[in-house]
Amino acid sequence: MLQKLEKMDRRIIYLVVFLSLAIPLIWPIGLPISVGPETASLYKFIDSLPARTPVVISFDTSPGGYGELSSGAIALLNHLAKKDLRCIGMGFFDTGPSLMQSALANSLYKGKTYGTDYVNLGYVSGGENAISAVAKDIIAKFPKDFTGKSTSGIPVMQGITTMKDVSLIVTVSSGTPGVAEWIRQVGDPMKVPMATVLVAVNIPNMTPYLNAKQLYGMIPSMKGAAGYEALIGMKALGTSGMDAQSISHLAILFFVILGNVISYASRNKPGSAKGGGRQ
Amino acid sequence: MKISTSVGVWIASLATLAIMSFVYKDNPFYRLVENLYVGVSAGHAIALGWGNIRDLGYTPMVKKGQWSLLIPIALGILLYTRYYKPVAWVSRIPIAFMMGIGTGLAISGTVGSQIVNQVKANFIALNTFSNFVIVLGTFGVLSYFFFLLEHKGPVGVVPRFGRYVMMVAFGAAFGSTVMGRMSLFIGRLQVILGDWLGVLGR
Repeated sequence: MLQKLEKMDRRIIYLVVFLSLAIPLIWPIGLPISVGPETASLYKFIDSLPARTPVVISFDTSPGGYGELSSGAIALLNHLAKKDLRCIGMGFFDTGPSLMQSALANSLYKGKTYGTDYVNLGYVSGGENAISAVAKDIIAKFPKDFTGKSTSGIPVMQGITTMKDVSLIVTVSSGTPGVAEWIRQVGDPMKVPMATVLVAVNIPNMTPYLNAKQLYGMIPSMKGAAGYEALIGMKALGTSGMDAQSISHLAILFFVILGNVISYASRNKPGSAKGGGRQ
Repeated sequence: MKISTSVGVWIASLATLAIMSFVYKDNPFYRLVENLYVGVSAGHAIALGWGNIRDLGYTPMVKKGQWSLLIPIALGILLYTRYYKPVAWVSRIPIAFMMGIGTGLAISGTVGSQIVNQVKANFIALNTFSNFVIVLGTFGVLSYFFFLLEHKGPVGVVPRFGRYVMMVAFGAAFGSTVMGRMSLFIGRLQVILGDWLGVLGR
């Protein structure tokens, strides 16, 4: 039995994980969803903003990261649209603005007026240097929007010259430049409230910014998206994905425990050099 | 079950399946989509890069007379000298500019936001368990990287505690990574099962 398990084809693990994800997506269980304090604080902050307040959303992600961030980004856009806030989009990853177009098309902004209620300014190359330059003069660095139209005099940008003129900056972030660069160049020096929609891998690295109040809030991965959807009362992809998330975690926990048991048992077997870990 | 009639959804779903087929074994479908992805990404980046040069360099220079922009454009062109060996050294000049500006900007911001503000955030009242963990954990981890004294006997107690704190942090990072990878996979399954095949439960 132990030998069989030791030589188990790794594709069986893939299959079990696949099924643990696919089955709850097709037949949802409806497990309870909890809202984290970092997600609730972002919701409260946005909810307190008066209508027509400008908010910058920077899509600093690639398609690889967007699969994880899309539900959180769309939930956030829906909240901004519900509150009738001005949404100023941009990106410092070349693929960011294209992904923002997709997110806008799937959000409540679809029914609003482009140029008056929201805009996608596009992409500026240069990473952290570009963030710093854009912060000092937004329109100068985005003379044209993502669709190639001139940004001069568009209503959504009325009264906005620098990042100091916006009430919140949210970076939809999966890498560099991302949260740390935004905080270094804009959040801290210009005293602009910042938040993030973040990939799970980066949560431990970014939590110190929350504790230091350099971030007002965070929508971490699909879990945060599900919580945010619950707060705004619009259940969508984040909520439906959480059953699958929970069941797949159980499957992975099972395999981690099984792997450790096999490793421990084979280590204690006489003459065995297998099992990994400390010999 | 309602199968999509959108060409985009079909391409996205079949490309996803081709990429996922790698977990079974390497195959021509996987390699085709992999190369396609790299090619599309490179083409997209070049097109957007050219748009940046046109809108922020060429147009303001020619139409608004901002001739000072010739300097960064010339520096940018000099980067390509690295492909011709006799003058390859010239490419070090723009690289030095980029490094200098990048480092200057990053360091000036880092001191405030990643050192001073983070240290300030650790000056907290020790009135809750969480605050105790934050302060002791920070102290323990920092002491682990203090190599002036050998970590033996009583001197080794605090660094050992710091090591346990780091192990907990790495465990949390691993857990978060698993959550992230599962979220990515769920995102693709939502496209395949929902947008493409229409079998997603509500």
